[in-house]
Amino acid sequence: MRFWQLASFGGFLLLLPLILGLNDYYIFLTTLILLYTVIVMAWYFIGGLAGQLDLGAGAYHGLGAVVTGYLMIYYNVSGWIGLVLGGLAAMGVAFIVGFPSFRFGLKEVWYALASLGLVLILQKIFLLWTDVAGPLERYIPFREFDPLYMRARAKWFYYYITLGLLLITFYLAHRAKRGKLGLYLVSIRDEEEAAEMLGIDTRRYKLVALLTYSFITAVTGGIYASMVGFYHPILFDGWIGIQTATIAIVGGLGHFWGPPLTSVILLSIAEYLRINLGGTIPGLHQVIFGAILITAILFKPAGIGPYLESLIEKVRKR
Amino acid sequence: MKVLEVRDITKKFGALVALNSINLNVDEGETVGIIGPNGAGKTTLFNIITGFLKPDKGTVWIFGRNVNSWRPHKIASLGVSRCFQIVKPFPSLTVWETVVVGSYLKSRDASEAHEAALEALKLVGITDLKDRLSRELNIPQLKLVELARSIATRPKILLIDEIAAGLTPTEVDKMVKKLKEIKERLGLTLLVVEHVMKFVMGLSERIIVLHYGEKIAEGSPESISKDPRVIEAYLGTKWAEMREWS
Ligand SMILES: Nc1ncnc2c1ncn2[C@@H]1O[C@H](COP(=O)(O)OP(=O)(O)O)[C@@H](O)[C@H]1O
Ligand SMILES: [Mg+2]
Repeated sequence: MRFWQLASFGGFLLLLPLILGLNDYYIFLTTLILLYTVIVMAWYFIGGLAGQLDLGAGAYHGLGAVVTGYLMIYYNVSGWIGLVLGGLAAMGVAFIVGFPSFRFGLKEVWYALASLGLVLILQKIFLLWTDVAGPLERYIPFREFDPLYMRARAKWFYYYITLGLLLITFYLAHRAKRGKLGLYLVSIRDEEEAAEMLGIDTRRYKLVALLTYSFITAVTGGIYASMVGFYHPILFDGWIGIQTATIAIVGGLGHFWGPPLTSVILLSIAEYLRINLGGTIPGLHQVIFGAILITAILFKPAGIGPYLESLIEKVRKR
Repeated sequence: MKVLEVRDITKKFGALVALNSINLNVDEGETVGIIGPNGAGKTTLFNIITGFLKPDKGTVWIFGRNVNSWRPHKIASLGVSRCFQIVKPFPSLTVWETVVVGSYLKSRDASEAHEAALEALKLVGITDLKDRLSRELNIPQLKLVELARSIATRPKILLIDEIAAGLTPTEVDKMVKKLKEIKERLGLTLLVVEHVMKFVMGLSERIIVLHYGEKIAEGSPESISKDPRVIEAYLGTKWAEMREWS
């Protein structure tokens, strides 16, 4: 039973571009939703497990976009290599910021604000750094279909890359959840001093969580840049981090399935509202989206994760 | 063999001298009791030994190494574990997961960690709590969970801070027996801070007495219970209890 459920779900994801009639616009939107869901899943490491309210996703996303795009444009380097180098660059920045943060025990709102500040700082740096970015978009050379260079006109190409990244992220998160890393991070989140007394280098493990999250988030940025065909400092977008944390909280902090499912559902609704209402009354879709979030928080302050998870359990047992 | 040496430790909090030139030597396999009225500096001494606080003066030596600049996790890896006076549970973990966190310290893989955790649960006698969430437990149960996760790290030196507080006299006897058993089995060196006289006196081979940050006495349980300075320090609060014991 379990096998057939998995197989049909996997088949659905694989065939989704066909189901969408190979309509580039719909596939593009679907890929965006999956990209942001990858970030939500990556946030599981730093937010869900390690309990740090990180709002800096935009910093790593933007960094991945700039590094990948820059290398593709000016050095003709394949986007695949760009993704890895962008991820490593993000890890470097995360280390520079995370090391002192954890050294001095930055937590809660202070950590949240610092991580959000990082987004703004990087955006300013790249606005001023005109050799690399600056105020104008930088366009990535067009290719009809060049999988080695990681560039294609058809959006299904990016859909499958994103799907692959999503699966890898799920795998890593699931492994962490089940193993020593997850247990260590949760114990740090719950009671840091007790964790230390059990021999856990709490700063080091928080860094491991932060670096994992920053790497994956940067990869989403690289994919995004190649998909839209340009990069710009506007991709250092504070909203991404806020959206990610909000979805994770609504989906159930620390829960495994709640946040990604919530992400797919809420972002789909948001896109639907934007397409159908954004044209008539500008901003109305955001108001409605905000109302949905507030309602969810008011009625289910612990998030809808527990409900979604018990639902999954029921489906599994059937 | 000397496993722990506290040499001339002074710790101040502002104008308050929490510990004043404290010296203490502990040999392998010994059980040393630390007593003294509330605010005497007992927990502060534990915080300094385990690296949570840095002394203003003096050094802590563990297995012949100066650990003054070490962080708690490194001191733990050296073989020191501790049960906190105010319990510090992991609310979202089960008892089993809590103990596994401890046992990972000296295990190479998950199966080894699971084996060690099971053994620790058995030794402490809380195998039946295994699948309960920490947040559902009461304080005495949580103290046992702390004991189990501490010994799951396979320490050589174990520091216990007021584990008998709130127990009935029969439970105190049971706890003394249990700790003696665990100590035998694991070859531990024990440092116990305790208010309950019956407990320290029953467990310790040697006792030191702290009073407002000063060490005012040190010796066998018998000599301590007769020491006039100790009796004076405890007068009013602990006097009755001491008499009861002796
Ligand atoms: N972190 C701290 N900051 C300021 N004062 C402290 C701190 N820890 C302990 N103290 C003070 O130091 C003294 C000794 O405290 P403590 O070691 O907890 O005593 P005991 O464990 O013997 O009851 C008390 O007066 C206490 O208020
Ligand atoms: Mg105390």
